[in-house]
Amino acid sequence: MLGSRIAALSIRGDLRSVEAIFQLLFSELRQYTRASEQNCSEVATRIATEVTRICTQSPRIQVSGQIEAWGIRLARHRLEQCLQYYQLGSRQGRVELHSTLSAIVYRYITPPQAQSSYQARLALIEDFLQGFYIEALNALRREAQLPPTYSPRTLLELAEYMAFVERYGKRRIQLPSGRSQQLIVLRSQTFSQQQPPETLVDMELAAEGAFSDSESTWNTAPVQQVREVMVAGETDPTYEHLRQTVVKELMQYLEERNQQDCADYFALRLQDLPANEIEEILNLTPRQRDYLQQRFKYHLIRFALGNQWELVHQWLEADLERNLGMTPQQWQIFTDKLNTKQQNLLRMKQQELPIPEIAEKLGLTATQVQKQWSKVLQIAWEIRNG
Amino acid sequence: MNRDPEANILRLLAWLLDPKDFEDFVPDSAFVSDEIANASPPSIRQHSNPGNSNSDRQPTSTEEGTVEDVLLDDSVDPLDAEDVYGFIGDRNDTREGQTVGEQTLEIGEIPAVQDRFQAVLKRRLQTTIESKPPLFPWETEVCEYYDDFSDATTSRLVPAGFWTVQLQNLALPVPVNIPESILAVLLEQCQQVAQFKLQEGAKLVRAVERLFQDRFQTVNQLAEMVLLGSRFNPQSGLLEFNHRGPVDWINFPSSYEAATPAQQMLLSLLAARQLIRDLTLTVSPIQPTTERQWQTDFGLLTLEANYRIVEGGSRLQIQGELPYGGSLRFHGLNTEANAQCSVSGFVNLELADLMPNETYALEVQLQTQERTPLIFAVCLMS
Repeated sequence: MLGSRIAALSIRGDLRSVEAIFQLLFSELRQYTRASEQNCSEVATRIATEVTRICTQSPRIQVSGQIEAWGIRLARHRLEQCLQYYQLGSRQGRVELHSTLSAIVYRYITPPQAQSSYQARLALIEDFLQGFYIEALNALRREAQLPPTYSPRTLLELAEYMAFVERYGKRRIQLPSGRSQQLIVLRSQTFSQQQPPETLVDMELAAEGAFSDSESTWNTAPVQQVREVMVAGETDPTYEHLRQTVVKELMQYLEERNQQDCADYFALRLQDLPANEIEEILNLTPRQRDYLQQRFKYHLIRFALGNQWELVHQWLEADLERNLGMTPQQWQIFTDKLNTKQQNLLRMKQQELPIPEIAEKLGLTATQVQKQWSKVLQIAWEIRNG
Repeated sequence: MNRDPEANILRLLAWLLDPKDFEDFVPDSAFVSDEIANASPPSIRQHSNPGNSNSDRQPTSTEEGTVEDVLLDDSVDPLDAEDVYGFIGDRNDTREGQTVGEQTLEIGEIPAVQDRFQAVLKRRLQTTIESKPPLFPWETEVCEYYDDFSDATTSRLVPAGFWTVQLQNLALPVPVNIPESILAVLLEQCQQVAQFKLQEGAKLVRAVERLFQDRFQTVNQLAEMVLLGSRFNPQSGLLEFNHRGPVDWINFPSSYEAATPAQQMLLSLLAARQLIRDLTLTVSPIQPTTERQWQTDFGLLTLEANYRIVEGGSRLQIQGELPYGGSLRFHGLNTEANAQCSVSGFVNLELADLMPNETYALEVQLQTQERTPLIFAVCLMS
């Protein structure tokens, strides 16, 4: 039966490897589900056919010389997704799928209300995903050559559908610029465009004005000026790269220090969400969020003076080559303030000696060297800022 | 250099929060797709403006049809459409590679940021969505889905005659005889249903649904009553339910045939409940031993399951006392074990490190002409 179906699809792939992929899928479905033999066979056939089609039509796979290995890799990925949804069951499975997709499209779905809020977005996302589930069902029917009336009946078929929806949504679409974007993101952008347009100005106001007292410091004029100044450097790829590196390093820094909530806050902050929405997502009161923000700032300063000082000072245009950003007069005050050990440390840093070597010469551990260096930077920081 | 130390930190943050984000909040560009408005620096952006060469044939990503064009385009390598980051795992190399040169990622799309953002959001969303799970296009309510049974599986479960002796002595709370044909269907269904990881109510409904097709709603309500417990009062002839006192419409007639459909459903549910219990051996560290007995034409079958947590794992012992030569077959997720004896007597199986909170099948087969096994369920609770 399988052979005739595959042949009917005019697939040029090696039939032996199709059969091998089918057998792999079939036996695992039999082993890990309680679905009937026939049902396992149907689902395994559909996945094997899809995988074979990809392998046959992909020039990259064809030239790789590892067609079968690719087939198995793609099939295993699909199988794992399907089994995961099967094990979660109808209710938990759909909660998992719905929350995964909602999280992906969240930032692209903009509510028409004056003020962007978690609840308002959720309602819109619900509308959007209802349409998307229909689209995905039609795509499954079309691609798996199922009748136009097909809908899942058994738990395995439901799992197959849910896994398909996730994969379909995450499918990467190549855009004219050469960049690629997930299909569901493109759909959500189209959906957002269809929202009433008069809300846009309101949204801007909301984004500017929604932050509470302490938060407003982030959006005050000097910061905006800084932003404006920064535009000039924006197109420089090295600059872009530096910015991303700082973000990545800061995230890692927070994670390593078990500041998970600060890292969460940072991630939300970078999405430019208004304060009230951040509070809703993190389930915090304004006061708690304010406290979290203070803690984040504290770690941000430590980060700036700690291991990543070079990165940060490079951005501040205050690296060692530029006397840590100080005037000759400030530099004099600075060096006078340092004790002998710190002066030696500064000299060796200027010579770009590696930390272990500095540690050995100063008779300190590597950690102690880092601590001393932070102190040195702190002194420079204070002098620089008067 | 700014004099305010705090301002430096603000600068850092402002710098982290890309200035482009502000630009994108102006009405004109907010509706432009991500691809054009956010992702590309100004110099690249110009290429997408109308009038430039090639731009006429390059629709924005958000225009209807573009996605379809790409999906249907034979020249596109389908491997590119794969969510490769989902299983290849070299996303950093690939995605961050886009940051250098023309293709700039929006700051919120840096993998380290995006992954954490989506994880935070997903945790929050799950609690919201759990209280109101979505419906799929073909559904009118959130319902359970089950595995189907192929004909081959079903016919194997039609009980052989010698297994049905037990059914004559079924401990039901009502003194009404249920016809053997009905009981045979119930026994067949209960053997399957006992294997499911479902709530007891769902098992009951599934066990009787073949008898009462299209009466799903009523069966559901009655199953709930059965679960809440009942007591037959011989003086009044009433079946008294714990949750709403005596219900006089359940004044049972003497035979199943004379009962109303609702009464038949209720009787079947009560019988199914007893059968599922008789067919299930549940063990846990708190209740390590369970025994079940089943009457056959050849005598009494006794099964005992013993579950122990030992150093570094768990052990499950199954002892069967067979009334006739036969075998035990234990199977489930990734596990299978067999034991047999040629004459009546004891058969033992021992299994190590089974998955807790799983249900395994225990097939008992007797070496008679009719080879249909009776399938028990062994549930390991943690």
